[in-house]
This record gives sequence, C-alpha cells and structure tokens, in this order.
Amino acid sequence: MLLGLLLAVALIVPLLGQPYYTRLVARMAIFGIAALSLDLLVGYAGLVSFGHAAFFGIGVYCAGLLPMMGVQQVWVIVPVAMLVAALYGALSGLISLRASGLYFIFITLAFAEIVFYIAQGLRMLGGDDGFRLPAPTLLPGGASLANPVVLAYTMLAALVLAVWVARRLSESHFGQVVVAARDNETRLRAMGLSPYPYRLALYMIASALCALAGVGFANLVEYASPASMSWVVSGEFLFMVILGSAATIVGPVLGAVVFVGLEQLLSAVTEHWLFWLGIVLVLRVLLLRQGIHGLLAGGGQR
Amino acid sequence: MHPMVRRSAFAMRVATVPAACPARSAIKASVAAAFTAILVVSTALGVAGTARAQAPASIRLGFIAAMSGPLSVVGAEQKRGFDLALDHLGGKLGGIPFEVIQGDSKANPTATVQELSRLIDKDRVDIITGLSTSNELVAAIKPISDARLFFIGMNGGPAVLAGEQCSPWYFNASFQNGQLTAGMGAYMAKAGVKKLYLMGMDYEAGHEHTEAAKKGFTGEVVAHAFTPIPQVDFAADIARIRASGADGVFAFYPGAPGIAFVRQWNQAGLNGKIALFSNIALSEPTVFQAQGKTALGIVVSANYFAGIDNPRNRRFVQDFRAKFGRDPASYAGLAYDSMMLIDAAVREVKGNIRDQTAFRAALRHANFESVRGPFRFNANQQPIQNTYVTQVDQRPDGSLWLRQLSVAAENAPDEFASRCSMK
Amino acid sequence: MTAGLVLEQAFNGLQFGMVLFLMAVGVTLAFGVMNLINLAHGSMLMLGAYFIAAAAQKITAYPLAFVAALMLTAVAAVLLEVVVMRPLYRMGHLDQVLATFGVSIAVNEAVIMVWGREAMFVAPPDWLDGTVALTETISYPLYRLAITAVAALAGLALWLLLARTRLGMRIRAGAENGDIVGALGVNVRLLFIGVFVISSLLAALGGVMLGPLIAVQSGMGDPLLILALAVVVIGGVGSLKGALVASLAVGLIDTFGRMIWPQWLGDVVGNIVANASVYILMALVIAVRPSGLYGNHAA
Repeated sequence: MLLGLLLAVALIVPLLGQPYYTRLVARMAIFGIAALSLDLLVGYAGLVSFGHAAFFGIGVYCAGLLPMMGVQQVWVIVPVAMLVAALYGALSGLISLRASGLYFIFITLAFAEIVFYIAQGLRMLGGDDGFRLPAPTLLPGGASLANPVVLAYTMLAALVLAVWVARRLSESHFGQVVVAARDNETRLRAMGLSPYPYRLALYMIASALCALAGVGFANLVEYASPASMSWVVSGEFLFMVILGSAATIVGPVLGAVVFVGLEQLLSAVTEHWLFWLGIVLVLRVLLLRQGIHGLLAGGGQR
Repeated sequence: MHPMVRRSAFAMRVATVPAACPARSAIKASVAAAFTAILVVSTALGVAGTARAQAPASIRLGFIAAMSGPLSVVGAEQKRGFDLALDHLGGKLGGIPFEVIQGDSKANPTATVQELSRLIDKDRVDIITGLSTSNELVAAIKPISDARLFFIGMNGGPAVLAGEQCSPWYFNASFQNGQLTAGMGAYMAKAGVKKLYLMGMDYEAGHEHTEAAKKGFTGEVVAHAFTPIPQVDFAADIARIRASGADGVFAFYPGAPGIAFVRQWNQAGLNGKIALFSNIALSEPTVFQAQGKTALGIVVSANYFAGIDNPRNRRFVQDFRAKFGRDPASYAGLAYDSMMLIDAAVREVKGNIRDQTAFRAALRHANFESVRGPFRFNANQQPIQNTYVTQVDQRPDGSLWLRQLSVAAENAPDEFASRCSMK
Repeated sequence: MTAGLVLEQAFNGLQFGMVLFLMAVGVTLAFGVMNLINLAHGSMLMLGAYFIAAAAQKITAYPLAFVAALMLTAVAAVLLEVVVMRPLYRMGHLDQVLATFGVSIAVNEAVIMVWGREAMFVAPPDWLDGTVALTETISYPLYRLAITAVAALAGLALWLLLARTRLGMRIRAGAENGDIVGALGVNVRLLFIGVFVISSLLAALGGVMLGPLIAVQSGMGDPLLILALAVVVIGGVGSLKGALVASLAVGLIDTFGRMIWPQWLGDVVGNIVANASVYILMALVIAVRPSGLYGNHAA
C-alpha cells in the first residue's frame, strides 16, 4: 500500500517541473536498484558483500567510456555494463564464494579496492579526479537521460522491473535453493546439491543489476570518478539494505529512499551531518531490529 | 567448536524478534515515529515544492565549498574569509541586500553536482561562488554554464578550464594551478639549486603544479616522481631523494600528506641539508599548528599570503587575526577577494544582474581592490596576477608566518589562455 | 637500488608492519573472543593520537602524556563497550559491520566537533628526535626505530599475558570456544570488557606513536584499519601468529612494492599494482586457503 503511494508520489514529482526534486526521485530510484541488488546477496543468500560499489562503479565507467567511442544508445551501454559487471562478478565470485562469513565480507572488499585503484590509476581518464561524461546515454527515439524527467521515469521503470525480477527470482526453484543454502547449508549438501553454482549465478545477477544502477548514476551526475566505487559507498549500500530490512525486496528500496532523504535533510541542517548519520546507523541496529519495512508492516511478520 | 558455529549469524537476519518489554517498546515506538517522520518528510518534500516569486529585491548568492569530509579544512577556511567579507560588506552586495544559500561540495565531484542542483533548481540562486578542489570545478562548470549562471571560483583552476573548456560563465578569482608556482623554476636556479628532485601527489593537480615548477629551471632535474594519493609515509621517497644527490626538492603535497611529509623530512635530518621548495599548498596557516617548527625554512610560492602589504589586506588580516587568532590562509584571502569582486560588479551594474551581458562585462572589469595586490582578468577569465616567494619563519612569540623573499612573477597570465576561444 | 637503500627500506617495512600488527591483533582478538567485527577499531587509533596531542598541551613530560593518552582511550573503550558493543556480540556480522561503521563515522565527526578540522600537532619526545647511522652514508630516524621496538615489546607483553597468566588462559579459552569460558565460571562480562580495552589500547598505542609521523586528523585511522582487516584475513581470523606473519609480510610487500613495481611496470600500471598489492595478495591467499594462512575454522 505504502509502496504504491510512494510510487505514485515518485511518478507525479517529475511532472511538477522542479528539476531538483525530479533528480531526487531519480537518485532514490537508482540507489533503490543498487540496494535491491545487494539485498539479493545479503538477504536471500546470506552473503554479506562489502564490495558491491565496485559493480556500481563499473556501470558508471561504462556509461562514461562508451560515449567516448561514439556509442550512446542505451541498448548498447546497459547490456555492456551489465555484462562487464557480471564477468567481474564471476571472476571475483569464483574466489570470494570459496570463503565464508568474515572472510567473504573482506575478500569482496579487496576485489572492490582493486577496481578502485585501477580506476584511480588511469590518468587518461582523469585518475582520482575522474572525468565528465562526454555525452549522455540516449533512449531509443533519441530522448536523453541527461534530462532529469526522462532519467527519473527510466530509472523508476527499471526499478519496478528489478523488483518484479527479484520477486520472481526469490519464488523460483533457484531462489529457494539459495535461501535453503543460507539457512542450512549442511542439509542442502546432504540432499546432494552444492550451493556454489547457485551462489555464483546469483552473485553475477546482483553484480549486473548494480551496474544498471551505475549507468543511471553516471547520467544523473554526468560524471564518473573512482569515488563512486569506494568502500564507503559499499558501506552505504549495506546501510540502505539493512535500514529497510534485508530479504524483503521492497525493504531495501525503502531504505534507499530514506537514506537519500536523510542525507539531504541532515546535511542541510548541520555540517556535522556525518555524526548524526553514524548515530542513526547505530540506533537502527540496536533498537529498530526489523528495519523500516518491518516497522511499516507492523508486528513481527514480514 | 568456534563461536561462529554457535551463533548462526545470517539466519538471524530474518528471524522474528522476541516480544519487547514496555520500556523498550516505548523507545522503539519513538524511534519508529522518527523514522516514519523522516520517511514522510523526505518524500513529501517533493510535493511541497517551492513556487517562489520571481526576482525579489535581494540577491540570492549560492556559496558552495567542501564543508564536510577530509578536505573540509579548506572549506572551513574559505568560510572564514567569506564570513569576514560579509561583515565588511555590512549585509549588502553592491548596495543590494542579499541572502546566502550555503552548499556542501564534500570535495567530491558527484556530491558537488548534486548540491549545485539544489542551489540552482530548488533555491534559485542568482550567483554562485566557492568550490574547494580542482575536480569539483571540472564537474561543476558544465551544470552552472547550462543554467546560465555566473560562477566565481574561490580556489584552484585546472588547466582544461583555463584552456579548451573555458566558459563565459566561469570567472576564476583564485589562480590557475600553474600560477601558484609561476617563476619558481627560475627562482630555484637562482637560489643555487643544481640538481632538482620534483615530486607530488599522483593526481591531475599534482601533475600541473610540479610541471609548472619545472618551467624556467636551468639546472638538472634528477627526478620527477609521483606518489599514490593515499600515501602518508614518505620514508622510502626520502631515502631515494638522499640517494639521488639532489640539492633541492620541490614537493607538492596539500593537507594531511603535506603535514606528514614535512615532519618526516625533518625527522630524517634533511632540514638545512637539502633545500625544500613548494607552493603554498605545502605549508600555510591551516597546517602551521600541525607542522610546528618542522616547517621552518621551507620556501613556498603563493599568489596570496597574509604578509602582502596594502591597505585592504592590512584591514583583512587584522580583523581575521582578531576573530580567529591566527593569520588567514590563502583559501580565506581568495574567498574574501571573490566576495569583493562580486560586490564591485553588482555595484557597477547598479544591482541589475539580470542584464547578463552588462554583469559579465562588470565582472571582467574586476574593479575592486584585491588583498593580493594587482589583479585583473585575462580573456579566458582567469587572473593576471603576481606570484610571491615566501619562507616559513617564526615570530618572537613562536607562531609561524610567511616572510616574503621576492616576487617570482609579476602581472603574469596563465599559460593556457591561448587555448581558450573566448576573446 | 643500493644495499644501503634496501636496508633502510627493510627497516621502514618492518616499522610499518609492526604498527599494522598492533591494529590487526586487536581486530583478531575481538573477533576471536567476542565474535565481533569492529570497523570502529580505526577510531581507537585516531583517539589515541588525538588524546596524546591534547595531553601534550597540558603535560610537558612525554611519558606522562603517553600514559594519560592511553588511560583516556581506555575510558573511551569502556564506555563504547558498555553502550554499543555489548549488545552487538550476539548479533550477526551484518549488524556488527553496520553499527561499528556508524560508530566510526560518528567518532570521526566528534573529534572535529571537539578539536576542529585542522590537524593537531604532536612532537616526538626530544630524546627520540634524531637519527642513528645505519651505514656510513645512511642515517635513520631514531623515532622510527623506537616505534618498531615499542610495538615489538607490546606484542611480547601480549604474548606473555596470553601464555602465562590466568587472564590470558581465559582469553585463549574464549577465543577457542566461547562456551567453555562461561562453564568455567568466569565473569564473561568483565572478560569481554577487558579484551575490548586491551584491543583498543593496542590500536591507540599505534596512534600515539604515529602522531608525530603523520597528520593527526579525523579519519586518520581508517586506511590503517582497512589494511589491518586485510592482514587479519590473510593471516587467518583469530590467529595471533597469523596476524604477526601477515602484518610483517604486508608491511614489507607494501614498502618494497612502492619502489619496485613502478620501476618494473612503468608509472601507471606500477602505481596501480603497488596500491592494490595488499588486496591482490589477499585474493591469492583466499583462493588457495579460504580461511587464511593460519586460520583453521570457518569464521
């Protein structure tokens, strides 16, 4: 219900002719997709990745690099970005998924840092400064994602699609195996199933989805820089997921919405907004055990 | 058995929560209320948009700088200079009442773009000033130009924005990066340096600043090295400097790495053995506290420092010291200047800043008294100004200051002006 | 590269490795005993540095300021343990990562609110401010040698504590198996506070000693924390031996790497590899041994 209301608001805002709020909606949708993709790992598979920003950054850089080669079409940029992210996801996942628990958290961080330092070291792409997008991504028909209204609606559509895909995925046999592996890996193995290929596939899907969000982000800020894949961003993604409540699909989207709103509000009120953000984070973990989604759903049921 | 097996960590995420005791649930309810409020407000903001009346009788000035994050030292110092300018202007800009809308660029290009969108689209500012780093500038000039607003830059100037990507909407009231070091090459040669070791942080500005230091140096450059951005331990580099046989080093390290470099240089016992040169980024009043006596003797070039002798600067420095207890850093001086520039231009068009052709012309005139001495704009709207050579010295009370040694470049433009299409 | 330079770099790598060890050993202890992933550990290093900077303004005698800084850190650690950390021990890793990430953001900003944005000054004690001759041509800062020595002593003290004392026995029992501690009738609550304080003090010791070497400012501990986490993963979670070996390896690889890679691979690729070398090492170790060099359990 609330989600429908939220979506309705999100759909109306771009019509008001207020680019700032339109961009805010686009931003929320973009981070919603990113948080949702991370939730597939964290919530459903129990894989706490601390390096998800790497895939976001891959999306950002693809959206920045392809126009340099004269490619602007969304139907080239998005598949390429998702493919590159999925490939890096496969490569890093092959190793990361051998580890578990704390090792997994930090090995994913390591793989993200490697990508970060590569981006930072590429002087032809501005190194640590990054670079301005030479041209925006174009939709079929020529509409440009540099237009905030177009971007907002495109990202909202992508978000709805992502939610639908995630729902289908979680209900599928594939999804059930992943959840079963999270809850009781031993039993799954006793049934003769190895969770490894399932997790790897899921890892690749989540990576690709996050790259989609990255393409949107690059168009939102018309800029690509290594900062978009720093470990702090990975931490923020985790924050969004858990703020909303993991393993609920819509929870992380809510988390992203609140996070973006919170950041805007706090930094408008005080230059020490990071202090209060930190406090909110701690309070969320210590007191609000079910996340915003649990809160809104009422009681203990998900 | 390891603890981890005991507590199945991930399964807990979706487990239901045990019934809460009354006190806890009260807390929970209030936290819940707060979160819901935030949720509602943050989304409702979108609907409660602003329908602000057009052109009030006051100017809306956007001031954006790195107020949080690792480079907020720069933003905070800019704010000090900015605030002092507000005091001196007595609440009016060119005789017109004005209101300041502040933004936080966080020293991050993407955050800058986002914050600019707020200033431009939501708060509908008329003029924008500020920014703290070169990468913020590169990201910011396009959205500002697209919005057809004038921007007066308070700190830094990457080469591309002085050359190929110059914009009629961008006035740089600080310096083109190379200008901070203009004439230092010749100065170092004259000071007797035969073998020069150049080094800097490995990012665009680091390359620009060290490149500029090389110009005009007649001796041998034994190395031109770059260290990775996160590096704060320079033991290895200092060892290499010593092994290179250099008798002079030019090192570009702003902020935290600069503090670390100077301290370690001192601890390695190189003070007084090898001459250390830089520009104002390495050693200036915001890092004097941290560098302490280890900074003594370092020679830095600058387009502004507190000791410049003119009536405007004497007043600025005196009031700054009275308010903040130390000399202003160049970030503060250049922020102050930017405000005085805007003030003069608004006065010249009698407040009619909507006439953008006239306002641009007025900004170009730069008819104000700069704290740095002579100042005017080149065709690319970058400054033509002096570069001074100063040395870190000590007052009788132990505090550090920059003593002028000479003028390295007089009324000098930047080197990229010819690449700019504006005439 | 001359032999003298190699020797000097070896000392530098050793010093860096020992500081990392101080950080890593705290991370690994907290995880081993309390099952806690603590991303606020870098804040304890920063607090140590800030406390000695503040203490040195009031107290001129360095040893006293040194002790005062560590005591202040201990107080902060107890507060943090009681208010935030204790409930976290029972929670999942995700909650721990987020809550301690939050603590670290808040503490980073809190020091700005208290001491301002500008970096603080810390002088090394006069009697350590000089150089010693390594060879006829190369002299080495005495202060850096002192850091290495103090860190090694702290490591030794910790080893004695763990190996030879009753408290140490309990801590080790806790690290091996948390259930046993309770069964032995040990006051688990006090034991956990003790371990948290010890681990915080080791980080703070690193901060106190790094103070005169790098900039004392907000967030100074975070890069070191990330490296320390890498060290813990490489060495194997919960293993002190692993932490020591991995710290020294990372310290030396990082220091020599910054010199060697750019020479071999050119500036661009060389700098990338030098920056990422620790993480590449981590990936290689995990690829071969998913629970680190000396880890023998799934964490």
